[in-house]
Amino acid sequence: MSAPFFFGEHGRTLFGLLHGPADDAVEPASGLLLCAPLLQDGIRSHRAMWALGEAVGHFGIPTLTFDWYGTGDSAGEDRELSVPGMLADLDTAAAALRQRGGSPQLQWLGLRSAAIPLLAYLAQQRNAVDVVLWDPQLDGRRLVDGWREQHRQQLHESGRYVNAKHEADADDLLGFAVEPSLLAELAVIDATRLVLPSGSRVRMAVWEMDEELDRFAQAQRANGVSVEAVLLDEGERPEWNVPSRFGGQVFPRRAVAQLAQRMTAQVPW
Amino acid sequence: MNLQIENPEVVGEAVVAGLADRFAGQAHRFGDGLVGVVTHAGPSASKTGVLLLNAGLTRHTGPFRVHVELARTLAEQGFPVLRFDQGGLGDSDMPIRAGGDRRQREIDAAMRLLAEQTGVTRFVLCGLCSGADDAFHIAAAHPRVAGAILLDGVAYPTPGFWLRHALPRIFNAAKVLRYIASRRNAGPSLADFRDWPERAQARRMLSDIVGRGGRLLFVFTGGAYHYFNHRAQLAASLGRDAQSPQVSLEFWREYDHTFYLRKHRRVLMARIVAWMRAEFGAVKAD
Repeated sequence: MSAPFFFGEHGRTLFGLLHGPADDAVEPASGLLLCAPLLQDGIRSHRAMWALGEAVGHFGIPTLTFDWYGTGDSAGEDRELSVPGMLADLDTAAAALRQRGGSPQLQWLGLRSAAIPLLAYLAQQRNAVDVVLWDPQLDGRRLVDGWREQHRQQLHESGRYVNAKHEADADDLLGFAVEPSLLAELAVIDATRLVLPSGSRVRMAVWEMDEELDRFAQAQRANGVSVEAVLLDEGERPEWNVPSRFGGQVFPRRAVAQLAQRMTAQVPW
Repeated sequence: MNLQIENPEVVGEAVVAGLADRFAGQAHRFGDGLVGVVTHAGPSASKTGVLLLNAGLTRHTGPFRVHVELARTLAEQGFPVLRFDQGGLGDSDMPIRAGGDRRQREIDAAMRLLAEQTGVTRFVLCGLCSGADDAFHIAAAHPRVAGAILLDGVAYPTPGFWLRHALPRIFNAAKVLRYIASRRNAGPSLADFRDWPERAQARRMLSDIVGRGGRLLFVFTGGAYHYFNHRAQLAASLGRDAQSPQVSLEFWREYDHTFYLRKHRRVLMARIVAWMRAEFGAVKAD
């Protein structure tokens, strides 16, 4: 059961979908805020995030999916997406989830590039946080460079155009209008260096551990943050960066099921 | 917990900011677990509303958010718009009843919602790819559908199509070999995922729409190059009703299927707005 609604201040309203059980007999211990990746990855993975929200919500944990300001159904133009704006959106979405979900305690989950604004936000919190990072992208510079390369390939190598060549507007990126300031803001964030409040809990669901994730985990542990990781089934790893798959949906079903089971404590991390 | 569902048919509302500040956007849950957003167009809005249908498996916001931009632009021109997810897509639940009339039932529910919320009495359906297929089927069957915008929609290869397709390739040995190899290892093609009737049936459907005064805007892009490569092909494959004054056609072979570049989306947006105003005479929203 899900309920769509707009929330937030006039002039900066956000679209959200609250997933929960059909009845409200049980008082939830916590809520879960799902943070979508940016640009095309957000569109591609939407149904997977919906399915995760629905599964966790059905189990009795109110779960909110929402659109960043300037994305999806939320107010604003594409070009208004910004890092400070996303941090403000997290505050707004958390307040909406606490109010409508009925629990002051929250868990957070970020997929892919959502990890960067999410960790930047959580690193500013005073109290311990509980966060799940799903296939996170932590290096802002590498993220931006990857987007630019994918955009070049979409324009010139993907076979998107038949017997035609086109140049994009200067602020076009991956099909959206993106301000250079957003790219500059992201490029200077190395989320492996962001440290969460002591006592926090980080769980990572990844298809492969790498040096970047190891570095992040070590930095957290050194600050009294517990870090656990679960490896997902390599066989359904999404081809995020393959140009010919750019327009296709991403729905790794077993990963969604694994995450839902762990988020609802049916299976230990 | 409290999902704040005062009415199981209609949930949540707010005013959307930015370009849409002047046009209220309301989030709704309706029908069998469908989710959509109505963009209102002001008190002197047109009695013709627009339904934006899912493009393939993409959520109701559309590829690169084009449905949001289109809804706000059309509302600014006086046309109320509902963008929604069909069952099993985007924000909507999995369908409870999977019968063959599901598409009809869901779009009926969407039309009822838009009529209740905005007072519109007739509808234009707009869709890309599979959304265009849905729009064509419903437009043929539903008397309250006054028009349809079909982006890379139904058309059939004709002898002319094959001639134009083959001529540039026939003297290229590599392409000929690739073609032969592809015929030997034929997997599913894009056409296997389309929902087109038999050609004779499609001709009758088009004739029915035109016969009762319906309007159609066909837009083909380079993304349809594997089945459409010349303007004349529409009439050649769908019959002379395709040449009726009620039928408009654009062929933008240099554009891609999902309008990746914003400058191409601006052209699309302008064409749709001009067509809507010409065919349905909107009053600019207050």
